[in-house]
Amino acid sequence: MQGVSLVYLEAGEEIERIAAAQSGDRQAYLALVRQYARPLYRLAYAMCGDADAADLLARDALICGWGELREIPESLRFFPWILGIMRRIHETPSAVATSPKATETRPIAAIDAHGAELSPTNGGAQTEPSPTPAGEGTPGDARLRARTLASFAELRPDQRMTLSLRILEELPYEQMAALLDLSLGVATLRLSQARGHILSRATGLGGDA
Amino acid sequence: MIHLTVQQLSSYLDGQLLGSASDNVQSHLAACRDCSTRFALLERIEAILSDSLSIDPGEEFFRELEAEVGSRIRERGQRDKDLSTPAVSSVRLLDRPAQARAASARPENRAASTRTDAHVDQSRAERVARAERHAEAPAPRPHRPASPKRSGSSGAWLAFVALAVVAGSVGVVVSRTSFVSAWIAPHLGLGPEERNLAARALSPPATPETTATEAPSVESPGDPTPPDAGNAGHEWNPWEPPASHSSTNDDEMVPDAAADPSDDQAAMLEPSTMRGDEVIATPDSSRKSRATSSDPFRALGTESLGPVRAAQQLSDMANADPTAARFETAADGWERALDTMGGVPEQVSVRQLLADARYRAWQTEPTRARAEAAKSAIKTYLLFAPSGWEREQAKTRLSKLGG
Repeated sequence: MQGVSLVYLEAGEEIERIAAAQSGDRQAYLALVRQYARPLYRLAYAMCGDADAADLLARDALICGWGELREIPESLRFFPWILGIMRRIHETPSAVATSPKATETRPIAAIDAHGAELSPTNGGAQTEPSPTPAGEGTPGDARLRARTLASFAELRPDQRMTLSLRILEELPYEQMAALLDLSLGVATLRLSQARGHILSRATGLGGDA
Repeated sequence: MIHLTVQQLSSYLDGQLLGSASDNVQSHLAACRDCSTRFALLERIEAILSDSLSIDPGEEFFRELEAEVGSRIRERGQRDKDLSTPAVSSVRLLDRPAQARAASARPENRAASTRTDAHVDQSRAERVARAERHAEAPAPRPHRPASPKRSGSSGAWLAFVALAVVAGSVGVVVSRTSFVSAWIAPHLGLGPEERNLAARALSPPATPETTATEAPSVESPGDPTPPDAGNAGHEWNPWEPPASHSSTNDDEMVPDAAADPSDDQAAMLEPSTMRGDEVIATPDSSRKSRATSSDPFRALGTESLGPVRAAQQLSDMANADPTAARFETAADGWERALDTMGGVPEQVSVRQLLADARYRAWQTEPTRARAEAAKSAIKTYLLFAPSGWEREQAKTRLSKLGG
């Protein structure tokens, strides 16, 4: 994991900066930008799969945020709010253009935990066990990696966002749910749906055995 | 054997299971090869995603991002301030730093964006300051008697106001007659094109705003490069007001007088309520603002209206910050909107906007692929386009693209 996970500003300080920014203080807004640009960009990258598109998306969101700052609900922290704006921008139809392309949608052969292909003729039973775990750079590893990224790109935006928050920001379920304005149960379900989809698509083993 | 669900595996992976739930999963994994394989794969997938999705572009990137956001919001603040005084708002229309914004949006030019913005801001600041001085000067107003006097002569005051209103109305009516406009034009030094534009502006169905935007520049046929790729934001587009109302260029195209200004396209081209720089930051409010009587898409059904509004929003964003990628995204949006439309009349407008977006993408950053896409879109539009200057403009663009 690179970088630092999401760190919130102290609540009182954030409220002060938001209030100052709402009254036209650009420096206060830029302080908020400075605090949250990194996680915002990381999530934009996870959503877009492309550094340039993520750059544009994050900038758009932050610039839009300035224009809509007066509308921020009092009960909401800045990051969930700006994340909502970014998701709104991304989930317009342009998202299709900037989303990572699903490179493989046809049924794929199952692979084992080390990336080795399982025989399609025997119901997925392993034809011969992988002698050793595949290390970095082996064909099995590369295959699993490619399939994982392709299946990640196939996720719905809400699933992708949930999984990204968990993986990139390592947020507890409760914070993740709060950030996405979901109940804990729904957030947990989306996360497991996302993982199930990737497990199914990337390995061919099926999400639920 | 009952296997573990993905939800159980997922929660166990994240350490969210407690007590006996965690123990049960752990003992099952020890006994079940299928589930342990799936769990191992989940762990590997997690590691792959963590590795692939993590990105750290470095401190410099975030400094630039902050600088650009600061520059853009300062620009927005200045525009909002400009809007508060009519004299300044006219300067704003003459001084849209679209070129600077287009350049700054390109990654290779971001380093220079701050300097460009500073230059633009300096230029803007000078004009704005001049306009503000002008705005601060006492505006010519009818002389108002002091309150004590007015209270003593309210009847005379009302008569004066009524007379002024009547005189003004008569003046407006008289000035709109073709005889008077024909007499005035030579005295003002207007050429034939300007007179034509003026006549069109004075004709009842067209609004002055519409006429002003219906004066696109003619692009010389056969020129393989755009007239000014970086100046794409200054070209006419349906969502942006004109950069200048002056018509002194001999290449100005005369609008087709036969075009029906009351048709959907003409109505759609009214820019007065559709400034891209206003709506970019508030997509929701832009949707509200479009639900006006001049909205050519107001009669569309729900299925088509959503994609159309989304495409309009993308066009707004492209016009506010012109890059080829944004125009292409807008074009994709219009294509999606088109997919939801049957043979309804509005599809002609959508095809025109699609062609416009494709052309502007090429104009901003010319490539062969963009030229082909623009040609294709324009040719398709021409199959449906009614006669009028929009059609002529499309033809001109097509010839410019080598089609």
